[in-house]
Amino acid sequence: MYKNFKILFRSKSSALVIILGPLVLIILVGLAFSNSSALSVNVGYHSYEDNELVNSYISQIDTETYTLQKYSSIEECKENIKLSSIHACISFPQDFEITNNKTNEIIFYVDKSKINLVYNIIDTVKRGFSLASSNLSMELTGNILEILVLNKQGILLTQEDLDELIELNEELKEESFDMQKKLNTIVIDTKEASKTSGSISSAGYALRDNLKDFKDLSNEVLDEAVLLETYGVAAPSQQDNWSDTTNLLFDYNDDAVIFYAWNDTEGARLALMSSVSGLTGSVTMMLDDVDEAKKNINRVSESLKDDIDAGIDEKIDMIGDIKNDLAGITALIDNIEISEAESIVNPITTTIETINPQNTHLGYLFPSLIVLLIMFISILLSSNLILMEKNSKAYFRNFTTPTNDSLFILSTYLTGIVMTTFQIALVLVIAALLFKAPILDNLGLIVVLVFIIESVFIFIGMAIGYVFNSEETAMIGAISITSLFLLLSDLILPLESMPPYILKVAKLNPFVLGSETLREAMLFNVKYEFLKSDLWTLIGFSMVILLLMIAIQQVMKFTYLSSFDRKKVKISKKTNIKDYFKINNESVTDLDGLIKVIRHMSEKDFKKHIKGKNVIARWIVEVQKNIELAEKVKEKKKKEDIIFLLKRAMSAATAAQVATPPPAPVQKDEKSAEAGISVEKKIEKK
Amino acid sequence: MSNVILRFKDVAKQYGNNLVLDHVNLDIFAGEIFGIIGASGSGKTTLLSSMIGFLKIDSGDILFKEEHLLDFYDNQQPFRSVFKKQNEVKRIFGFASQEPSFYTKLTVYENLDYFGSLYGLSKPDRRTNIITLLNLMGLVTAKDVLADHLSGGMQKRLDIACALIHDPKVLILDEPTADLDPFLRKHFWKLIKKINKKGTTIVLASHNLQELETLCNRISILHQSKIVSVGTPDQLKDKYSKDEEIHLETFPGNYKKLIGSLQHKNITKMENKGTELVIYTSQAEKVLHELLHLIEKNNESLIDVRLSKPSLDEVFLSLAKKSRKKLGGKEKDD
Repeated sequence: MYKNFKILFRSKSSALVIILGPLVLIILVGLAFSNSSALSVNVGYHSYEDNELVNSYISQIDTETYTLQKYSSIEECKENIKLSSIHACISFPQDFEITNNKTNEIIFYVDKSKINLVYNIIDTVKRGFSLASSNLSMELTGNILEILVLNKQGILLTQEDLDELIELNEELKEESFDMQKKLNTIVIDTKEASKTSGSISSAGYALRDNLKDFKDLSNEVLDEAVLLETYGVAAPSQQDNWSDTTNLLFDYNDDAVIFYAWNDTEGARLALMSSVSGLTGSVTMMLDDVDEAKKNINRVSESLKDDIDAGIDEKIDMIGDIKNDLAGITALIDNIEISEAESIVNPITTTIETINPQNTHLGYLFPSLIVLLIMFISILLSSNLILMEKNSKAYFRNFTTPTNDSLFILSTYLTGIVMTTFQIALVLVIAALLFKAPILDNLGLIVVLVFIIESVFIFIGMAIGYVFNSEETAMIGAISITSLFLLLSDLILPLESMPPYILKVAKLNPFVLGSETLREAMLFNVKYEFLKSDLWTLIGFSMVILLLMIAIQQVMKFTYLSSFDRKKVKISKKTNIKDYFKINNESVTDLDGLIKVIRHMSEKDFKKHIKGKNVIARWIVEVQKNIELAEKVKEKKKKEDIIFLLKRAMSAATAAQVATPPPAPVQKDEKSAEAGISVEKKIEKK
Repeated sequence: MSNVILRFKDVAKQYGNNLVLDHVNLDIFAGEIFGIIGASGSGKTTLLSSMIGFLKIDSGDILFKEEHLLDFYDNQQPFRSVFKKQNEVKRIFGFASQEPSFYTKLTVYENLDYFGSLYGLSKPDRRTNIITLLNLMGLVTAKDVLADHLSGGMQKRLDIACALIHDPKVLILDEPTADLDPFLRKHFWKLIKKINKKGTTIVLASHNLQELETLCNRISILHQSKIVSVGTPDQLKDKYSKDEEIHLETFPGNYKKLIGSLQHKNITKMENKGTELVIYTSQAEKVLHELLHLIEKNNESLIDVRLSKPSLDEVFLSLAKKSRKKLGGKEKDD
């Protein structure tokens, strides 16, 4: 395990990815999602008129969170949802006002393919509209209550009038009672008239019966007479009948029936006459009584006239007032425009409608899933292809051939495209056949989009492949990048929940760009004209990544070829100065060798050597023991100047050797040599 | 006059504080097998990598003769810098590094075909070249075998075949037999000679002196960042070692007694190598005469006696010692 850690951390890219990968990821994700701010959502609306009611509803939408935009038609508004310019659309009905027997329906149009956002928007907007509806209900109820209060006042006044009326009626009732008493004193005697009337009646009945009998006899006689006439006319053969009739008439004569009937009738007539006479007397008496009663009534009536007339007039006035009051109450009640309970309690109904023809979760998510698939396949495949090439034994040989780098890039790209397209095509066909995924309607544009999205991710994968040297680290890098793309998309949390500055970056996330464009083409069948800008953004993006990838490839190629001579200068305190400068791995011991090394040193390396404690000067002190020369060298900053000094020192030494025996070497003093100048001073003192 | 195909002109290269190539001047002729000898880390690979423009040099230039001028034996013809005409260099040069370089998941034929296509060869040309190379390298039976499944020697052959697929004028081989056993090594030497016979100039870097001695027409010795000497193997031996070697085998082989008895001022060194006694001397005839006398005197029976020139090993070691003494550095055995 220890060995594994060592190997892992000795590779700079591995260490970088292992440590920085999660750090960068958590920092970016933290920046993106570590906030509780509300969503930043664009809502469109369409209303036929700008009345107060519409404004009251619109004002309920929090403008800090929601950006509102009015559209001239609901279709335009819906189109903008499809193009992701807005997230939801509110359609207010025509003649939007609260009246009886009218259903006001506000329709929300949403895109359900934005699963993690749509319900949030619906919830928030509906909550706002519920509040508006509640306010409206309260207002309507308030109106009714206000009218009720006014009515109550009117009723109270009416009640007072009614009380007064009742009092007056009581008084009138008492007066009426008195009058009744007075009227009861008026007596009319009708007994005699009644008795007379009975006699008349009996006499009448008797007379009627007699007259009836007489009438019957007359009729019989008349009938016989008629028969006689008939018989007379008839032939003598009817002699028998004739005899019978004649006999009957004789019978009547013999019995004197008619005579007696007449006498009875006369008697009855007389009795009746007598009764009538009696009755006339009774009536006369009664008429006298009636005259008396009439006089009494006239008296009572006159007395009542003053009291009751006055009372009734007053009551009529009062009733008129009551009527007016009631009319006022009625008018107030009539003034209540909204009186239906349904209209008051629930003045507005809201309906959610989706603009997606698809109605399954798979349908909504399908474009994002496809882009997700493309992203993983393309990045992992292309990074792996590059690493396979880089780590293959043949990588070196490719550089020995007269082949342009673009050929290798193109071949890797085409391999990636073919492989990814094959896999995605397989997925699309299965999805279209089994799950009825909406592909065929806009097939041409979808294919172009898939191709562009694949290109973007393949270039990213290739760049990852060029940056890293081992498959393990490339895998970690690829997963980190894809995770970052995934986390900064709206697949997990809505983009709209991110802070604005992160949102701007996230909208350039190729995963977001790709899935948005594919969603529009796939779910809403949006045509090229409307997707043009997104499409070209993606193409531009892929071009930028391509250029970046080529730049990385060139750097990595340079690094690879430079690895043949990658031996960096390392100067540390532990550096053994004596063996520091080398010619073909042999330590340089004389100034001639030092001149050679300095001459071929790159400017960058030379600068490193003269920086700080100046390694060249240290070497001169340590190996040549020439402190004076070292001090002079220390002052020089140019290669040529130092070489000139060294050559002059060589010449001087040669001349000295010829003239005098070589001087005794300076005593070795490690610490003093480090100090340089201090050693020289010590020598001077000695 | 030899036809110069590649010219090193004052080439210097330094890695930080270590000077690796110090004003190297060198001509390589068309059609020869040119060897570069040097201790490990002496800069052989640096020299070869510079030769094809992989490594940028600090000063000087490496020049090559363009393909259409190769047949002109005029060394005044304009040469081109390898660093400025990379594509042309890649067409003329073939390079086989220490490590085999091919796709292990492709067959022998597929590898050759692929690299042929990278050189822009047409399909018929590729086919012709592949067949020629398969025969030349002895890979006919393995043409459909995955490169990964080849033995070490076959992989090395495939690597060289890949370097030869475009029929280069110059083949650069960096330590071609470094990982091979002695048998395969000798087989390879034959192969390299066969390639050379076809007209390909071969530049060979190796620290195996026997290999260079066997193969090369000329050898350059890279030492202390410099080309200290260039010549045929015999020229180098003559130049750096006047000694001859007497290889003696006797019975019962009491060489200690012989060494003790043999006191000759012209003997440089005596070594007991297995059953042999090797005597290095500048006066071989005199020493041999004395030696035969001593054998007889010491009751030894002579089994074998040979006289030969010293190997390049000896030359190289003696040269290294001299250089170190000159530089005043420590003695190190490579």
